[in-house]
Amino acid sequence: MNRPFAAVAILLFAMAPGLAAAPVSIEVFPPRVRLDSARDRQRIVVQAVHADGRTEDVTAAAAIEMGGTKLAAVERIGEAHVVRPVADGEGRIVVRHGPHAKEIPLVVVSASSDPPLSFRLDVMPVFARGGCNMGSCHGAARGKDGFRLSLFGFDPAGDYERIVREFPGRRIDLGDPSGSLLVQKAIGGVPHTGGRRFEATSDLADRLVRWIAAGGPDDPSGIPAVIGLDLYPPTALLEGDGRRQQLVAVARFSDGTDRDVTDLCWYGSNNDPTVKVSPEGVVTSGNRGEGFIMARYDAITVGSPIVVIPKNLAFTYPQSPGGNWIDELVDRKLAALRIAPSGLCDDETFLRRATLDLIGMLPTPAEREAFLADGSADKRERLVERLLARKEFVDIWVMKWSEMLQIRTIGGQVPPKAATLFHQWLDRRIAANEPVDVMVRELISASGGTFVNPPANYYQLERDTLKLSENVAQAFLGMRLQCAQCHNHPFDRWTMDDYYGFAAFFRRIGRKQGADPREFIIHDTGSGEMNHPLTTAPVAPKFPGGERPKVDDRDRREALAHWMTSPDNPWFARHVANVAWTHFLGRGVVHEPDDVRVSNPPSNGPLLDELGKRFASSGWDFRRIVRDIVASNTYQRSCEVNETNKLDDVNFSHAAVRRIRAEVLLDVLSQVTNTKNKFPGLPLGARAVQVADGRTTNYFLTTFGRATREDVCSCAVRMDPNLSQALHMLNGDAANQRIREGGLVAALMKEGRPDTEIVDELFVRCYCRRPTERERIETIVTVQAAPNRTAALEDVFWALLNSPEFLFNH
Amino acid sequence: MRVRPLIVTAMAVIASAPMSAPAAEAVPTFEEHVLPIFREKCGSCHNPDKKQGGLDLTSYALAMAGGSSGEVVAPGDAEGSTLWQVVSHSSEPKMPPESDRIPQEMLDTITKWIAGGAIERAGAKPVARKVVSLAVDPAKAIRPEGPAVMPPRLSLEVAGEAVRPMAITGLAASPNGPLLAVGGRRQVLLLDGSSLGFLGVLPFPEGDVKTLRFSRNAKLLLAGGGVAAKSGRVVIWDVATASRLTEVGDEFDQVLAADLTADQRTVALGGPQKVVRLLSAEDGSIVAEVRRHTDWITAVEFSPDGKLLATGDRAGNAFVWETRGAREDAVLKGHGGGITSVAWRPDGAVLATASEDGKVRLWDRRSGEKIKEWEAHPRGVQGIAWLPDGRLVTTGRDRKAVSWKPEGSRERDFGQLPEIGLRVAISSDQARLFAGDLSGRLAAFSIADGKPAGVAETNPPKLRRRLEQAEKLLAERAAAHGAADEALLRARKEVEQALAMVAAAEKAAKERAEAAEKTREEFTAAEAEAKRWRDELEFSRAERK
Repeated sequence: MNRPFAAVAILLFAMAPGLAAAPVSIEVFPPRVRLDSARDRQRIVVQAVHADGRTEDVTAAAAIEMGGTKLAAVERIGEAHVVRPVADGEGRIVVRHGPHAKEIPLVVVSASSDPPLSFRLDVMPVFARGGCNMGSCHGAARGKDGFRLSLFGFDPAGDYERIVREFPGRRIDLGDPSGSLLVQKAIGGVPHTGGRRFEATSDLADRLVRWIAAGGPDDPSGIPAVIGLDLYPPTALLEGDGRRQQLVAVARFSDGTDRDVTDLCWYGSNNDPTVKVSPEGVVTSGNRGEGFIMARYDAITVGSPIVVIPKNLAFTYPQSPGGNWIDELVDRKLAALRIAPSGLCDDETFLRRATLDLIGMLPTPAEREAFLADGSADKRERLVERLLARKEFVDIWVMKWSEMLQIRTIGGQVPPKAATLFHQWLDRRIAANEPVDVMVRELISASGGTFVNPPANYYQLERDTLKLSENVAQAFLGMRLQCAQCHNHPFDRWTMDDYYGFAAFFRRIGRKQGADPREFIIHDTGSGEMNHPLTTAPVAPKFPGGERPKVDDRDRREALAHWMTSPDNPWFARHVANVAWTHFLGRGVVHEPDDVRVSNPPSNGPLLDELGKRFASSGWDFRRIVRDIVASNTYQRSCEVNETNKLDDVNFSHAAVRRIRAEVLLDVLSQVTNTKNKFPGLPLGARAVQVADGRTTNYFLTTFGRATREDVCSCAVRMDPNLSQALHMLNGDAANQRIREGGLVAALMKEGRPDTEIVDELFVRCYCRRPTERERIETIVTVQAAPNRTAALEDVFWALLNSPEFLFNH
Repeated sequence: MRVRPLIVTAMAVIASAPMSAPAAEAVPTFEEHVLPIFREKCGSCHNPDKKQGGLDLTSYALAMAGGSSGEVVAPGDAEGSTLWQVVSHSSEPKMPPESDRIPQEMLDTITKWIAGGAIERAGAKPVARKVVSLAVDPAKAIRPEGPAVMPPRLSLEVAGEAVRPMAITGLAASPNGPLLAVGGRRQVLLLDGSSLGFLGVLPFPEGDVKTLRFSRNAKLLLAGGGVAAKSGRVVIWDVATASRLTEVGDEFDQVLAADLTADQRTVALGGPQKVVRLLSAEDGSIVAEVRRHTDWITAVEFSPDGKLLATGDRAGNAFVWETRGAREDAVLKGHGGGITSVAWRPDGAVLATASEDGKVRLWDRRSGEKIKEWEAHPRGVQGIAWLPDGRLVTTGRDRKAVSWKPEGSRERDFGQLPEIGLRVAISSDQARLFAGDLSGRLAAFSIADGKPAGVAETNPPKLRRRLEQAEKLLAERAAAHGAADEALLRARKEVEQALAMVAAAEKAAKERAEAAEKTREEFTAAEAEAKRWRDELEFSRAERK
């Protein structure tokens, strides 16, 4: 859920403590109340918004009236206001707090009817709320202590069977409802490994008892399904620690009704030190920062971002000159968090950073001279233009896409020729800056011979329908549907229906051998259905979380390709833009970029939305979105931190220090040492980023985490530094041998250049800067004290190559 | 089921010598008659490529080898052959699937082929029928002697009241006398098996009664149960005096299954603790423990002679143990679902196991080998009981109670139960079948004709309530009776009035009859007079001419 920071965004740029003692407005949640049985209740929460964006839970102090009608009554239960039905009709609820008043509509129907409890709607939520069907308890695949429930309740029919009939006479006793084992275990009446889950007097226990007393009936068919969950307030900005905000959760059903499920949700926080949430849905603030509060009901998880700022903080957001639309969105978020971003980096840092990121090389000393000598105001933009036009830029993105598409040779499936053709196909499209939607449509709907139509190889790289559909979802949409293969995704919106509906798009792919035995023909078999493992009924193709398209006799993949790249589908554009963003900023707006899920929200929702929107509306011009990212102040920030942003590493308030990825590191190592690499199938001196086959590697690349491309996950590219990398650089042939082999020091000495110049040259080559005065003096002193000048200068080179400043982009 | 002395084996072999070949022309052969049927009707699934169910019917050797659930042809025993059962649609899975039965003449051919010894080709010898006989040895069947054992007059006061009865997982019929015991909450209900009348209650304050057994001599009643997830106990009563003799076992969960040896010295019990415990019935001390089960113990039963103990668990494991020392005697492999019941045939030669996999399996006591299996109740067999003649009755998740002939063919369906059938029991006179279900309903059926023979009250109310009800009924009836009396008086009066009216009317009628007679006579006289004078007139006219 990308909730806009509507409330927080107000008056961001002049915030001082004490200025706004009284709130400027109030918000009432939920925004409308509908009561549809005598049992129905709705909790009301009132949130005050201050001029500086701070929010406050003023529910306890607010007055709630029925706007002149007698349709409902308000009860105070503790600090809460709970509305209960009295008579049918339509009216309004009036909420007053200080000078502010707000009305919300009220609808009451069937005020006097008390419908029977439903197993799915009234009883199943008890197991979720009680934690009974968690993965560590009865939700485990084999259950617990002889009793199994479906994980988070994905299989209500099965749960009904297991409770009522699986072990006849054991779990419920229709003649002794409260004595039933199901109840006694939950309330701790008998020993229970899971302990007491709720009190005997609680509403949860009461639901179980009443349902059993009614004969433990199963639901008639056509019971309404949960279609949505709304969590209120959508956001909050709490000042200081220990501030509380009550949440309200309302579930929406397919028959148009809704229910207050505040007491039935599971709550969690992704950042406990900043915001904690109690099982009752009360958020409490902690340290400064941002936390994401999640609520889960039925198969649906939603969340609200909560910002915590220090109490009485004097803060003025520092305005940076220039910048583009990206900076507006990043700044807005930083201002809300009271974080001052770092300043812009200097030219040398920018040159090295941009060159490494855009073309995977280091700037040459000559490029550096020219860039520093350029006095024009737009020299950074022009540098970016030059780099975007380089062939090496294409190489980087062909490599990135090859990873996402997992291009590699597979014996008997993808021969070297096919992998190379596929790689070349990709290379041509990226070199021509072909609109990404066109390229992906061509790929997803690819049929025919794998030599004639190379993108068809994608369907040879993974032949298992389920695995393939998982790969497509993760590579192109950033979604990990895997969990939903066996149960509804516990921390996301995906259900088994979504999973098998998505897999149904790939169910009819046929593969047969071509005339050349190495070639395969990918074709549409025109028949075959994907069956749901629980119901065994065929599942029609369905877009994840979306509609079921009419596929008729078409190749189902065409329908999918069109949906994926249609402007109505935000997932794909956002995902590709976020992949680009992650490459340049070292962290995704959603991180990891291929782990888009409700419980892993974007650190800046509006930014992600805008990235996707601009990318799609630019005609899927990849270079344009890259240009916008690199041109932003956000990209150009220094990695030096200040007091406010030193703890922030998710909101892009400073540059991230990133280890250079394996292929690029090998290439720049070769570049600075004047050495060449040889890879199979490529000429001597080819760069590591150009290698087509995921299986091709060497010790260096493997050590530094080159992906084998066997796994679709972006995490397969390992970026973390480790000991074997350090040892390989220190003792292995990576540095030592290349220094000698390239003969750079010897060549410079041969030119008769003094030590100072040689040291400067080495610093410029490796760091894109001259040494500081102190570095220079200390280096020269060491070199001149050494018995062997060549060896000493080579040692200096070796030391530079082994320094973090060389190994990292910063 | 250890290896017996050689002589026994030898005798068995002699007994099982090939049957004499029937008249050659009457017996169909596989090659000539049966294979064409298999090719036409079964070959599309049971061929060497598909081998559905592991069964290939394209050659004699493969057909005789059977499928993944064992042999399908029992030479000489058509009705006991799985193949015949499924193609004749007398057992699940019906074959061919989702189609009509194969034509009767084909079925007849298969029947005759199996009955004739499943001969491969003309001139070949019939295959010997399997050694194991399903005939019961009456000499070995232990039957209690003496007069029927019945309890004394018992209090009819129940332990508590509930809206609904408990699911019937404890049900036992006495082997000597019309006595029926049903497990309930904190009590055992005793019923008269003939009238289904309520005889009284044996209190079981230890919890719910989950399992019930009469001793082999019918003199003792054993109940196992307790409080789920908390405690378990076995209690033994003397039936004739209804006195509690002993309590044994100290489990941490309900006892789900328990039994007593024929010598009444040893109790076996088991439950969710996954351990079968053998306890001394005298002092409750643990004699031996079986820890081989991997899931809840759901069934235990001593052989009629008490020498062996059969046990089963929820994971589908079943074993036979020697009672003395609890040493393993046989591992009964094959059930694909939890074991729900185990039962020894009255002569102790055969053990039947019932399982959630829907099947009943019979095991030979001597060898520990499976003799037979069949699909009895789709989705799960729950309860099983033997008739002394080797027939079986079962119930299960399909809500049916069914009797089976000794060789496993379906004999009779006893009507539909309203809920999952859980337990069956047979009256000591073998006239009645009792079936208890998940809803707590206990129905009786006549074994001879399958007709319903009543439903027992399994949730009797407290005496106070019964009295209230009776008094209320009395008041109602009294009122009704008063009203009826009055109506009678009124009616009688009306009768008297009516009778008076009848008398008056009769009198009037008589008077009118007399009057009518008088007028008729007068009329006749007048008529005669008129005739005379007419004649006279006619005569005088004739004279004048």
